[in-house]
Amino acid sequence: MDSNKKYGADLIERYLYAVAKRLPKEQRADIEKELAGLIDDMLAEKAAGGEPSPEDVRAVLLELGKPADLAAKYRGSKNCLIGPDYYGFYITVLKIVLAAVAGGLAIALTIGAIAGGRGNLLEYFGNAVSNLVSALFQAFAWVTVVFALMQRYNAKIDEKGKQWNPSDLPEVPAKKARIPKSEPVAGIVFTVLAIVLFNGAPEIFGIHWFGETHAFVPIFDMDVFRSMLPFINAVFVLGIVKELFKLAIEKYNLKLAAAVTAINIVSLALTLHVFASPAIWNADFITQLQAVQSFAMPADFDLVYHWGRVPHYVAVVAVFGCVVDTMTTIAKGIRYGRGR
Amino acid sequence: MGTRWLVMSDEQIDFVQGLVSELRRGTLTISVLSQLTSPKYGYALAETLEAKGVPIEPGTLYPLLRRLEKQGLLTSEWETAGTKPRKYYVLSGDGLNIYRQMCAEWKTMAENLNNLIEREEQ
Repeated sequence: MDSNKKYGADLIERYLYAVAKRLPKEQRADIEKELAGLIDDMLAEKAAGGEPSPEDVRAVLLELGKPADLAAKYRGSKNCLIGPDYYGFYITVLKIVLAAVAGGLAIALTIGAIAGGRGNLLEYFGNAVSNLVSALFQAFAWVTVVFALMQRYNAKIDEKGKQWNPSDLPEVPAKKARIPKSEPVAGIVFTVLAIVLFNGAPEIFGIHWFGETHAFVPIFDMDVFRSMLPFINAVFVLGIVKELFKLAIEKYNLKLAAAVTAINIVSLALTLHVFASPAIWNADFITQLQAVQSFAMPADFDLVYHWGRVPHYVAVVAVFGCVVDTMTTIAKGIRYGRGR
Repeated sequence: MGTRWLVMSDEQIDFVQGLVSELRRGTLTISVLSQLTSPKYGYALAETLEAKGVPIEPGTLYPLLRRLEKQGLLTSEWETAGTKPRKYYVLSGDGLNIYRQMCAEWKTMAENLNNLIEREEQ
């Protein structure tokens, strides 16, 4: 009998603790005290004046419900990491990013396996799988963290009291002004692929010979390349941000044009910083090629000279591409969307 | 109409119960406020409501009392004189005004809804 009583008291204590620990500190003691009184009253009724049995205690706690649910009712607010406002977009982005990481890494790892030179193929395969899994988890975590922050930030500056005006509704975009989802999605997939290749398998940027022995002449100076990686990655991340803008705005308008212009200027500056200087390029590219497999130098085309000019060519192409992209976006923005 | 109730499937019964509890949820505040013109502690309030045919689970009632207090409709006080300490809740001045307003709203709403239903039944 005495042990029964102790068991019941212990259950109650555990229940109260389970509820209280989920409540804000300043309310804990008060609510706990009140709930203890409530449980006492409910038990008294159940036992009809007698000594409540452990079964009575169990019944009363069951009636009160799961501690987590009860605490949630006290807190009132629905706590969620990513709410309905963001959930749809979150899932879309998550799918794209996970697919891109998986696809990009799979390609990079396959190339790595073909390029070989890493010993046991089985061991390599094992490593590859574990790399793939950890990359997928990382991608998942990062996307989730970003959206959780958006949720939190937005939840705080909730549009409370802000008047909604029907004229704020965005116009239905003209057909030509719409950006088909496939365009930014493809952009993101390729950019993630590029990130994976540049970071995970930089050795693919070069000329490979698969003869009796495997020879490799890199395009880049590997040390400089590695030191420049943060800048290269910044360019890629900016590219993804640009595509996300397209995905979110869904049509060409001035807002998108402004965002694209700003991003393009920054990423052009970074691109020029990295690729328009000779340092990152393998200065001995032509001579190393000659060493692997000698070939006749064309008489009317100075290969060594033109290899030295590569940074200039790259700069020209980068500037040209950037200008074209920016101008097109601005032109379309002006034509289709003075509105919001 | 009446006979159709008898042939409801379990699924339909669950569905109706869901709708009913949704309907009730909106009336909880008025029910609680109506009984707090004089101070009561939570469990006594739950018993009163149950006796009057409006049962509210304690797990719902207690957090609701807190919320109404936080919103300024109720005030509370711990009563430690008896055998057990109990927290008593009572309508505040604001709470009383709001309660009266809610009563008027409820009556209009019930009347209008009855009109709708009765016209449909004829």
